[in-house]
Amino acid sequence: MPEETMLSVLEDLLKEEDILAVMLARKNEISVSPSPDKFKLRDPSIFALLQSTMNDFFAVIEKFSSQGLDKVYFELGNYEVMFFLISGDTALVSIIPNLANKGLLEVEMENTRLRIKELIRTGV
Amino acid sequence: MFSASVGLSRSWEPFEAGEEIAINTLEKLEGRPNFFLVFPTIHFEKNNGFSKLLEGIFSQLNKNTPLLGGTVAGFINPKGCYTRGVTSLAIDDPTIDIAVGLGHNTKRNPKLAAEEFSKAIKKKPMENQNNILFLIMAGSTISETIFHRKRYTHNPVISSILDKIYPLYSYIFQDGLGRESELLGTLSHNFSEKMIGVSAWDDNMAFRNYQFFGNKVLKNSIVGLRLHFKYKPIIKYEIPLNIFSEKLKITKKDKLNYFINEINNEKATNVFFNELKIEKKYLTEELLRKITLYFPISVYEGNTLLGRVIGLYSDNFLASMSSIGTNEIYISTTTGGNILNSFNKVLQGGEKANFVLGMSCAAILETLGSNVFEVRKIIEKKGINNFLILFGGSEYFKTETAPISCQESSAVIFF
Repeated sequence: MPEETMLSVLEDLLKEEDILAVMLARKNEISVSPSPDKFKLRDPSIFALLQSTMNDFFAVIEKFSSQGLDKVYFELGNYEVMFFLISGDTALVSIIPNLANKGLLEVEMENTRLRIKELIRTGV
Repeated sequence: MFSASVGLSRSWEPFEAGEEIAINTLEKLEGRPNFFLVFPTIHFEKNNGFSKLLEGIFSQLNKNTPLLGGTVAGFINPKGCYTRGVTSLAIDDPTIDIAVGLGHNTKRNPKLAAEEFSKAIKKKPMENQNNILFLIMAGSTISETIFHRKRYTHNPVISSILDKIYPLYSYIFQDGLGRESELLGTLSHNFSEKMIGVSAWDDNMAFRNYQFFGNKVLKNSIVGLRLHFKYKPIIKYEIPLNIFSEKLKITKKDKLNYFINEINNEKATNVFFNELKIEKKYLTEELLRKITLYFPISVYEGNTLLGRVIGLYSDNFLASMSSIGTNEIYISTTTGGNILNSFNKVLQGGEKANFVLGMSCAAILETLGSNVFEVRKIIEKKGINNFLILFGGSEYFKTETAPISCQESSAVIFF
């Protein structure tokens, strides 16, 4: 079995039909994401906008992280964005359709978060 | 000596996934399996994936081993909680006797399908005590072409005629309601056994689902096992619903008891949303999804409040996923806390069992979302080490006289 990397974990999650785009966002660092040509977004500018504003999000997220902030959701037109915090400055972010079965996708988001935490722990 | 083993594969490649679960299930089993159960999510569907999955399994499993299964929305097993992948269960116990059954065309003629299933099961003579029927039936489906992801149809033609033409539509196209209650009614007439089972399902879109029997990939079928034990297995259930509305009276419905046209002599949909204090003009599909999960219709059977999730809304009917035999209904509600409490209760005593097999509802899984990991914590805290919990379309169980088919419940069997 090929060795698991951050990118391979994200690509695995992106294979889900309703995960339209995904990234591992890190404050003040370049985010890790599969190649945008693998994304299923009708409007790719949403991902670019999200990517470019991540540091602004982290400024808010950091203020709440000590209070146990774990997940953030917001609706964006025909999409919904899910943030699963990995630490105060790292988050798993995915874009899904607004009529997706979010609960089922959350389970696989959680599995991805666990795999990323394990990769961070083992220093891969 | 009883031995049960649960397998898991997260591979996206169906043959490889089948091979992997067969290997990792059989290597932990102490002897040869009496039967092999397989529960993939819908993700393997493309490119004949389910056939390849079964080929992968049978590349490692003796071809004479009875194999049954169905697609599910997700599952919890000792490795984790998943809504994508495939899990399996094999049991080896020389003292267990089994018979396998298959019935076709459940949506066209549930009674005939149940009779076909019963005949197959009864071919094998078996002692009558300590028996269980384990069942997997085709779940309800909604036409993807017509409804897409929406559950409120504003199409005036569909709204005004679907309930009337439904029996003919279902007969011809074998699409729509699973009709599990009718199958269970015939099975209960033919067998005195306790029962437990789950409807095959997809990723909660309700577009399609599959059943498996040997190397066959089926639709609109019932597959199952009659199991004879030397001891009495325990079946338990819990339903995490509370009554939300006043008692409501159905005053007009279809002959099959699935389409509610009128409640309290008014349009059913209007009454339903009035009770929830929601003006229809503010109703969005997103809100409707939450209503569907958190506010199912409920009926009493004896002292038990049973959930009936509404699968489709229109101006002229509410379409229930299970038949509603009575005219007295309630709108009920649930919370994440109620659901977790119900798992805590239903799993009580599981630590003394050799194996715990559970059936729950995809609506519960969707409601819990990533909090389903809390259910796994409950299982771990109880010291239950060998288990499999499946999430499908409907759950069924028969512990006393009448079989029950419902949604938003959890049923378990302790081996």
